Amino acid sequence: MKNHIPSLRLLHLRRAWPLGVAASGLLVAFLAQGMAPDVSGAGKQAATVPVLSPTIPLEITVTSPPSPPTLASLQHDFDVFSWQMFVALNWPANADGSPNTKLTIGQAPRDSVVWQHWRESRSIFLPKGETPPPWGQNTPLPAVCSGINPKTLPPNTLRLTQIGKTPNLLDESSEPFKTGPLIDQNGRYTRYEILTNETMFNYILGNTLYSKAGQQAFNADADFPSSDPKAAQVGSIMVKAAWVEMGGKYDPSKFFTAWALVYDNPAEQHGVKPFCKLEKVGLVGLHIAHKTADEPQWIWSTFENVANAPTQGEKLQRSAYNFFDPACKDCQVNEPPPRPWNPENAYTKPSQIERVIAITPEAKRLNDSFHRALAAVTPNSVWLNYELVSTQWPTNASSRIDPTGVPAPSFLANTTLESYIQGEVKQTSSSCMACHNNATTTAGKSADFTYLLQRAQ
Amino acid sequence: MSDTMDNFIGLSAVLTGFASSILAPGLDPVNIKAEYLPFFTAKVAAESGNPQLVDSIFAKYASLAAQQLSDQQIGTAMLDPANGADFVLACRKLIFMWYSGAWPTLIPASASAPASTVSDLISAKSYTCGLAWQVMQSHPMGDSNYRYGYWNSQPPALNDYTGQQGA
Amino acid sequence: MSNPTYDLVIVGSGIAGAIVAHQLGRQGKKVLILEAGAPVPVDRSGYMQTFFKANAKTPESPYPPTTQNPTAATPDNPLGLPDPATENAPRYTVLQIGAWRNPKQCYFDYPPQPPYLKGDSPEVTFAFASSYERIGGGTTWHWLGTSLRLFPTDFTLKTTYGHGVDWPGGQTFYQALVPYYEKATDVIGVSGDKTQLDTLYTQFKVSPSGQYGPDYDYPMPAIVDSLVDQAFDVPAVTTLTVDGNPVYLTPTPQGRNSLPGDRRQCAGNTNCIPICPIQAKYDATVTLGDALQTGNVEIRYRCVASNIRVDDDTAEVVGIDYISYDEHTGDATGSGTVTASKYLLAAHAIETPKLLLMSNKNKNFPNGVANSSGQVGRNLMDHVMYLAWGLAKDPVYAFRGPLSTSGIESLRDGAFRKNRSAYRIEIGNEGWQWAANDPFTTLADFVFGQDTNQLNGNAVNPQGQPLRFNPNLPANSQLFGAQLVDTLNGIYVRQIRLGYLIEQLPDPDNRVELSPTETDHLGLPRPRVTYRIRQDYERDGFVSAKQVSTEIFNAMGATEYTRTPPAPVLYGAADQVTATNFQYQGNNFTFYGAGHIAGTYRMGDSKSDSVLNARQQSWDHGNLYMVGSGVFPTIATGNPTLTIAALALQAADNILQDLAAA
Repeated sequence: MKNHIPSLRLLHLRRAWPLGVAASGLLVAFLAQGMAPDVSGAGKQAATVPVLSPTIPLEITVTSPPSPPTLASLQHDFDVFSWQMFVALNWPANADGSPNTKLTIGQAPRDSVVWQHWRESRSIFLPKGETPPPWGQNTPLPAVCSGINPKTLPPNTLRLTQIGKTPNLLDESSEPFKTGPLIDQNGRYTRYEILTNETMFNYILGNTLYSKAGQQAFNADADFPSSDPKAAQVGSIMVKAAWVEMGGKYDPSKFFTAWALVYDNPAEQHGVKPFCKLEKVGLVGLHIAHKTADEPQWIWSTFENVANAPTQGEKLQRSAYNFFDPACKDCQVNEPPPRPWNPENAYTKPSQIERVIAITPEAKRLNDSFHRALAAVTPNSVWLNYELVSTQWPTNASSRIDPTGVPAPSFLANTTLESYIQGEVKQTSSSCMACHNNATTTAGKSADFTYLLQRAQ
Repeated sequence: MSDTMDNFIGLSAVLTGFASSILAPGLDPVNIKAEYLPFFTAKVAAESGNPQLVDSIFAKYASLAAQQLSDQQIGTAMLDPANGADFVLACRKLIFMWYSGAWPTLIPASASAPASTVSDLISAKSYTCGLAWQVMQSHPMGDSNYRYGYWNSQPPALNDYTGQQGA
Repeated sequence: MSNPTYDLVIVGSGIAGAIVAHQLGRQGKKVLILEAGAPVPVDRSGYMQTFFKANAKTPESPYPPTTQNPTAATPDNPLGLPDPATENAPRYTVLQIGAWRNPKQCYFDYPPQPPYLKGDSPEVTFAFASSYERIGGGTTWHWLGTSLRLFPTDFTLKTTYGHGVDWPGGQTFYQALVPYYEKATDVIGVSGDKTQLDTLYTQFKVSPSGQYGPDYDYPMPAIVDSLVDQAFDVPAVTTLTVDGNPVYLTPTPQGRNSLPGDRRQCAGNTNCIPICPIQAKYDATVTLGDALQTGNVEIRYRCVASNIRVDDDTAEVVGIDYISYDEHTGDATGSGTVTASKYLLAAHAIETPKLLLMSNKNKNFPNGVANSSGQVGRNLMDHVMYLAWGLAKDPVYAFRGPLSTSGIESLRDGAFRKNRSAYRIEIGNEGWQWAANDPFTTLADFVFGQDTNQLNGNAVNPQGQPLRFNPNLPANSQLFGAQLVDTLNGIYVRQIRLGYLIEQLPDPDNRVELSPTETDHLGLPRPRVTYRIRQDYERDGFVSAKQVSTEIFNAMGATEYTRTPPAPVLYGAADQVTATNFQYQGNNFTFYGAGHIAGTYRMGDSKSDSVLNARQQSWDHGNLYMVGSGVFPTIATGNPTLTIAALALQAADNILQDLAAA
């Protein structure tokens, strides 16, 4: 494994403090496509409006000065990378899932976007460990969903390019490690899905990691392909999305929406009966994890709808939030509902969620700059409703004593995906890399930072 | 980084035997040094009653470091009893602080018990940053980033933990 | 009698109560749990943060209420122990052991030391050495995870070896328990190696085939052993015999995941006690969550059961009174009585007898509920522990992996049990952390030139080996830099520790009573504990343990560093007397607690000398049941939790049967 700045560790010579480091040629080697280099340095407002590109960046672009880069300057570079990822993945898609280069992000808002064409986890890890169909082909829906005909959708909800695309299936309603469900302001369960890109799916397929038996036979640590700028190859990317049903207190114009099959999954909790319905849902949270050559711990980007939750200890910025009721004075903050949990419940008292770790001023400035770029394309772009929370990345990716590569920031949570484990306590509070470092296959081998492989049957 | 911090890290590296790149990595999201320096400064001033003592410790270190002496020579000179008991004790407590994340109180020998030490943890973070866990080629109890079964094979080399060069 | 709202009321939400709640809830029975302590937190970060900050990382240190508060430290109370009189649900902690004679710092009240005793008198009373939790999920928060079955002979100690008592029915009881052991293994989620355990079971003729039940296996493969284990697993050690028994290692069946499942795979945080940060280790919050998920189980936290009401005519239990509070040191906020068809006490082996004894207002049961035998609170037992520690000749890389991954189970039974207590030996992976508070003690020794751990002075062990780690350094060296690194590394990576879980016999005078003087903040009496190690049978277990440790260390080429404890001080000021020190045959010993509190409401064959029948049902009150290790007639030779779980599953079936019959 390489350190993404290989020379840094060696240069901390005791009496050379502070670092007197010459700029390494490697530092500016990776100019991602479609992004005007931001030479203003970290923490300053971008001098230029970012270019919006459908091309997935393969590595961060290290700005210089400062030289050597600092924690703050690299955080900025990784945050820019996150926004580039967000833009490329939310680009309007052609029927085959490729970006529609005739359009720009934010145009044709009813179109599906690139990542929605990726492979859903439930269609990879099939009952009895069956081999999933190859990329681009559908997996049969759960019986209870298969009777639903997407053609019954209201007219004009799907564009022509999407005919034949099955709506995505949201088959999860609980947060990690049984911490509980997140209840929206309409009293409904927030729903989740996890998807992989083609590279990641093909690695799973090619190495028979989709089944328990296949993982036994593989009998090694998983090592997903990385993005490699030299080979111009897109590596493994996974996304986890959180959605709420539209209507009631939710105005669909404030969300990226989709029609999805909302599935009550009996495998999730005792007492849940299978049930399926077609619903218009709005995106509230999006994790993007991208494995790159220099970040074998993956780069973890997380985005949220701007109206999700207020920040703890700060003045309220809005009259209404997606997961917080300003009028509720006795609501317990960041507490899941009492058990029993069941997504088919008609109404559950809404969760009262606050963000525990504030979004940094630097990330807010970057959000503003990308919002300006998005607004320049479409003044009322739906993507103006989304913001980067932060990006977690390894500061010492090649550390021999810390497989997590000393992540920065140390803790990172999305209020819709890790609502109840926000905080700053080691091992227990949400840290993408610290937690996913412990992910293993069903055979007990390291799963390369994804819990997906544990779903094999 | 300030001169004071430079001297603090440089002295800490000499006394602990850990490389400054471990004590204060160039990219340091944990940043325990920022907690330790003010804590150490305040404690030494309070315990010695001499607000200038820390400055004189750092000044002495800076002058020794400027002479291109070896770590062994610098450490020996810093811990020389001729520097005064408070000076040397502060340096020794600095070692203990880095290794344990705690501040020690020495209990002198009595008629019924030999000399011993008790200590107060500085913070939750300082506990997890204790070098004692690194010098044993392990991890703080309750805070491991290793994976299932690692205890069944040899750990990485000691130098990977201390940041020192060599075999 | 009011109409019962619930089928069952349970006092206590630990593993035993949670299992029964889940079993009944899934059958559609309505269950209410009263839990004296704090709710199960959604996220264990709060507990972890408390743990990280605790100066003394004792088993109870992460959990509420606070066990130590440095800012409240005074010269009389250096650890800042809370005053139990100010707490609504206090519990005993190991930090209180040293303060056992000071009721301002110790929850237990102890009777005065009988006068004129010598250090080796069997009548000497000690501090109890084990603790428990009063929170949602109970003491499994800080259990180790060891999931051993007891041997058949553990159930017939009296018949087979002439000591203690049999469990009711003896062999029959064991046979009936076997299927529940299998079920308990699944409930906890145990990782174990059937083949290696079969070796053990064959040695002890558990059944003719060496099998331990018809469907017996483990849900997950064994947790891999540690380099520490491997250092013990050498021919020089495994050719030893002890009283005719072979010495060999067995991978410990453990309630932690070797594979990912509903819980995460163990990542070796080396912190099973006090707290597994990632919940790879089973704890009762898992089963409690499952119970609540049935929709039939309700739990009320911060509700302290204070009295059991009994009908004067039928002797049936008709209600349990409770007191509620919001803040741990605040005033009571309410009180009430809950009623049900059946009642289950699952508040562990100190609080359960205390509740029974407190319930002394019923006309026909003036000595407490379920206590016509007078046995409630008696026969308090623990595995009394002997610790031995040393330095291996080569690095073993201690302080890595789960706290213990292997043990020596081959000495748990044999003809010697006629003469002395049996024990199992736990091999510690945590260096001298328990034994000597390392890494911090050795660190202080070499930074400040002290010699607490005998590595930096002139000490010589009883085998005549000099203990100074580096003979080329002077005594009381004060090191820095590379020499400090090399010295500490050389020591820490070689640290080994053995722990002997010695079987303590039931002694009716070892008991929990109500303190005549001390109360908690709700005004409820605190436990008064009388505790001795009275039998030569038990003390001979210590003698054997001491000798075997030395033999094992010698055989593997290790140097023994076990400190000889100071002589007992029986009389004097509260801070002068020793707590767990005794003398025997001219040697000084100290004992440690295993955290295995048992025996205080035992089952038996007869109403006259036991509290419960073999169905874990009160002899005196047909609708009252009790679970937990308090039901154990003997402490036996295995860690108790798997047996607690199996018995709880069995009790659930009994209760379901009785509900169906009603």
